[in-house]
Amino acid sequence: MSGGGGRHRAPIEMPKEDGPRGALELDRDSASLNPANADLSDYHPDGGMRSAVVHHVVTAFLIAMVLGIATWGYLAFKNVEAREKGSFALSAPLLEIAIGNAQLDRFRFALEVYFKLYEKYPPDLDALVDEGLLASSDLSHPPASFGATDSKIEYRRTGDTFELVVERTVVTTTERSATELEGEATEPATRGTTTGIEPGDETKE
Amino acid sequence: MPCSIDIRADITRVRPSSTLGALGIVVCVLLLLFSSRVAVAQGDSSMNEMLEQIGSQKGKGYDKSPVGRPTSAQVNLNVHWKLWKRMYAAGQAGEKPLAALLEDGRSLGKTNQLDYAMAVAALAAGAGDYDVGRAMFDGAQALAPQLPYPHLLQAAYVIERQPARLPHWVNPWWRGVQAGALWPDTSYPWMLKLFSYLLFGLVGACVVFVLGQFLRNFPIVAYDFARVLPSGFSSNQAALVLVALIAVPGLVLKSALASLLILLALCTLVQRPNERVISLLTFGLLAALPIADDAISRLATYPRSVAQTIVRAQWVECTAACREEIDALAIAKPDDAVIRYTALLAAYREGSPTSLQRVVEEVDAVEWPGEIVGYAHNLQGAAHVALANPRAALEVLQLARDEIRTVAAPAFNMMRAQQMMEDPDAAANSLQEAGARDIDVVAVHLELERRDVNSFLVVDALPLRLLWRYQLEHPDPATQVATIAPVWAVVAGDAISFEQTKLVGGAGMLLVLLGFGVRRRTSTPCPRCGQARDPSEHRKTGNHLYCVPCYSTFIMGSTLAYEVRLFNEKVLGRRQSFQRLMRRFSGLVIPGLGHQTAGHAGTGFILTLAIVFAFAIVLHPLGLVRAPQELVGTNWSGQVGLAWAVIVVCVFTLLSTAMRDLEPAGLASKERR
Repeated sequence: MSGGGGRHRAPIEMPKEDGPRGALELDRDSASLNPANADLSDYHPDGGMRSAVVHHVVTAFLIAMVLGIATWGYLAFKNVEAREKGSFALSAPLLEIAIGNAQLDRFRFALEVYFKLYEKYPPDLDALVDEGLLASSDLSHPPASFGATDSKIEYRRTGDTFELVVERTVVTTTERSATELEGEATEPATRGTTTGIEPGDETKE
Repeated sequence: MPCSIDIRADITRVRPSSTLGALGIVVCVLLLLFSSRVAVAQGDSSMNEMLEQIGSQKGKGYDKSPVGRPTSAQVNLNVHWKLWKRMYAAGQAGEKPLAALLEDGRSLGKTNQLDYAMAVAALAAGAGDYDVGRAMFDGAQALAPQLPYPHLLQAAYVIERQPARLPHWVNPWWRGVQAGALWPDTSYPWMLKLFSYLLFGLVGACVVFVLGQFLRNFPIVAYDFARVLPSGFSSNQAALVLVALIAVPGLVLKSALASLLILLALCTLVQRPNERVISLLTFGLLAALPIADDAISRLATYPRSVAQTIVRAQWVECTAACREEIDALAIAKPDDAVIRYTALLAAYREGSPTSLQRVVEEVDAVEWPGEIVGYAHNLQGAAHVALANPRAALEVLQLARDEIRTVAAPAFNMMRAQQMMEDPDAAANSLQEAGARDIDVVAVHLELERRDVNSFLVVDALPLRLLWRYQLEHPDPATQVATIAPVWAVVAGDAISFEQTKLVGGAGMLLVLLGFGVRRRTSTPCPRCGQARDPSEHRKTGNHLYCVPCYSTFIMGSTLAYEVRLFNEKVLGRRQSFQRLMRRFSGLVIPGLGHQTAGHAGTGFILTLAIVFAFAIVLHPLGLVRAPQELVGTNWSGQVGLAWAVIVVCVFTLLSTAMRDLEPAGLASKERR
C-alpha cells in the first residue's frame, strides 16, 4: 500500500536559471527565432538600406547565374541520348556475340535433349518452349533493344539433322558508331560465332 | 520404331520454382555433417568387399596382353536408351539400362553424358511414383556426375512431394549447388549474373547515397561555406555560389559524374564516420570499375572459348572433330600445359596402340607445371599399362602417386600393373591405398569387367578448379567485351577516360581519409531540425547534438520567455515535421533514401543494394549469359524464392520506418549516454 499521504516528502528541486551546466554561455535573448525580437541596437537606417540593396542585387545576380548554368547544362547534355546510343553501338555487337554464343549452346543442348526424348528434332524452336525445355524469353535473347543490332536465330530441320543460323542486321544510329562498329565487330566474326555459324559445328548428324 | 512418350505434362509438372528453396538453405547446413558421417561408414564396408574380390582372384592368372580400344559404340548407347524409354513408359525406373548406358559411355571415354542425364532428369521430375522418380534421379546423376541440374531437379521434386523428408531434398540441393559452383558451363553464367547484379546494386546504392548526402549534408556544407566567405554573404547566397562551383566543372567537362563526385567530396568534410565509410566505398568502387569490367568480360566470353573446348574435351567427350581442334591448339600453343594434357588425354581415350605410344613419348617432352605433373605421369603410366609395359608403368605411377596424394588413379593403375607382374599382395596394397584415397572411383572401375583403356584403367581429367581458372588466366583478346566502359562514356563524358577511374577513385579515397581530422571544425546537422549546428557554439550548448535554437527551446525551454518559447516551438516544430516526413516517406519512394537522410548510411546502403539485387534476380533469373544446360526451369537452386524473401524483409523494414519514424543517427547513442 503506497499510503504516504501523511508522510513528509522532500521538496522537488526546481532547476536554477543557469541550469545543470553552470558554465554555459547561452544568450537567451539571441535564442529567439522571431524577427520581431531582433536586436536593433546597431541599426543605422542609411547603412542598412545600402546593405540591403547590395544583398538583393547579389542574390539576383546569383539566381541569374544558376539559371544560366541550368541553360548551359541543358545545351551541354541535350545530345546525350545520341551519344548513349553511339557508345553502346560500339560495344553491343561484341557483347551480343558473347551472349549469342551461349544462347546457341543452349538451343543446341535443348535440341539434343528433345532428340533423346522423341528421336527426332522439333519442327521449330517454339516446340522446345511448348515442351518446357526452354523459357519463352530464350527465343528473343539477347533482346533486340539491348544494343544497336537486331539478330534473329533461324532453325532449319532436315531429316535427322538441324542447322542453326544467326542472321544479324546491324543498325547504326550515328556515322561515328557506324564507322567504328564496322572495324571492331569484324574481328570476333572471324571465329564464326553469331555473324556466321561454322556449318560443321551447327549441323548434327 | 520410335518409342512415343508424352513428356510434355511430365516436364512441366515439377519445375525448380518452389519458394521453399529459401527454407532449404536454413536447414541444409545442419544436415550436411550428418550425411558425411554416414558416407564414411559406407566407405569402410565397400573397401572390405573389394579386397575380398581381389583376394578371390589370386592364383587365377592375370591377362598380360595390351589393353585395347573402347569396346563399345554409339549404337550400343542408342539401344540402351530405347530400352530405358520403354521401361519408363511402363512406369519403371529402368536402373539396368541406365547402368549399361553409363558403362558403355564410360568405355567410350564419355565422363559426363549431359544430354542423356538431362533427359532422364526431366522425365524423372514428372514421375508419379516417388521411389521410381528417386531411382531415375540417381541414374541421371550417375550419367553426369558433374552436372548440377539433376541434383537440383531432384531437390525440387522432393520438396514438391515429400517436403518433410529433409535429407532427401537438402542433400541433393546442396550437392547441386556445389556442382554448379564447379561446373564451368554453369558457374561462369552464375558468377556473371551474381557479379553483374551485385555491381548494379552497388551503383544504385551509391547513387542513392549521393542523393541522401545532397539532402542531408549539402546545406551544412553551404552553411560552413558561408562562414569562410567574406562577411555579408548570407547562407542562401553561399548555397547558390556552391551550386555554381559544383555544376560548372561538370558542364565544362560535359560530365555529370564530375559534378556528383565534387558534391560527394564536399560532403565528406561534414560527414559522420559511418557516412565516410560509405564514401570510401563509393570512391573505391569507382577505382575498381576497370577491374570489374575486365572480370565481366572474361566471364561473359566463356561460351565458345578455348577454355570451354578444353573442359568439354576432358569432362564430357572428345569427338574426332574435337581431337582435331585440340591438336591444332596444341601445335599453336606448344607451351600451354593444359592444352597439351587435353590433347594427350584425348589420344589416350582413343586407345589405339599408336595413340598410346604418342602419349608415352609426348609426356616426357613437356615441362609440366607442379599442379599438372602428377596427372601427366598417371596418364603416361596408364598408357604404359595399356601397352603391357608394367615395369615402366610402375616407375612413373609411383611418381604420380606421390605428386597427387588425394587422387586414387595412380594407386589403382599400379594395382593393374602389379597384377600384370603377378604380384597379388602388392596389388592388394595398392588397391587398399586407392580405396583410401577415393572409394567411389575404385568401386566404379573395379566393377567394370571390360578390358579397354577407359574402363580397365583410371585416367582423370584435370580437376575442374584448375580448368575453371584457365579462362580467367587466358582470356582471348579478340573476343573481349566492354560492358561498363560504354556506360562510363555516357555518364562521365569524354574528358575523363575510363582508365582514369583509378586515379579519380584513389584521389577521392585519399580525400575521405584525410578529412577525418577536419570534422571537428565543421558544422553538423542538428538531429532535431536538420539545420547546421555550428561547432563554435558548443560552449553554449554543453556540446549537445542540438543546434542553439533547438537546445535553448527544447532542452532549456523553461528558462525562455513564454512568447519566445512558443514562437520557437512553432518554427522549429515545422522544421522537425519536415525532417520527420522526409525520413519516413523518402524511403518508400527510393529505398534506402530515408535511412540516408537520417544519417544511417550503412543501413540505407545495404537496403538499396539488397532491393536492387533481389529485383534483378526476380526480373532476370537466368542472367545475361544463360547456362546451356539450365533447361526445364528458371528458378534453379531456389534463387527467385530467396530473392523474394530478401525483398519482403526490405519492404517490411521500409514500411516499419514509414510507420514509426527513424531516429536520426547519433541521437539515440547520445541519449543513452
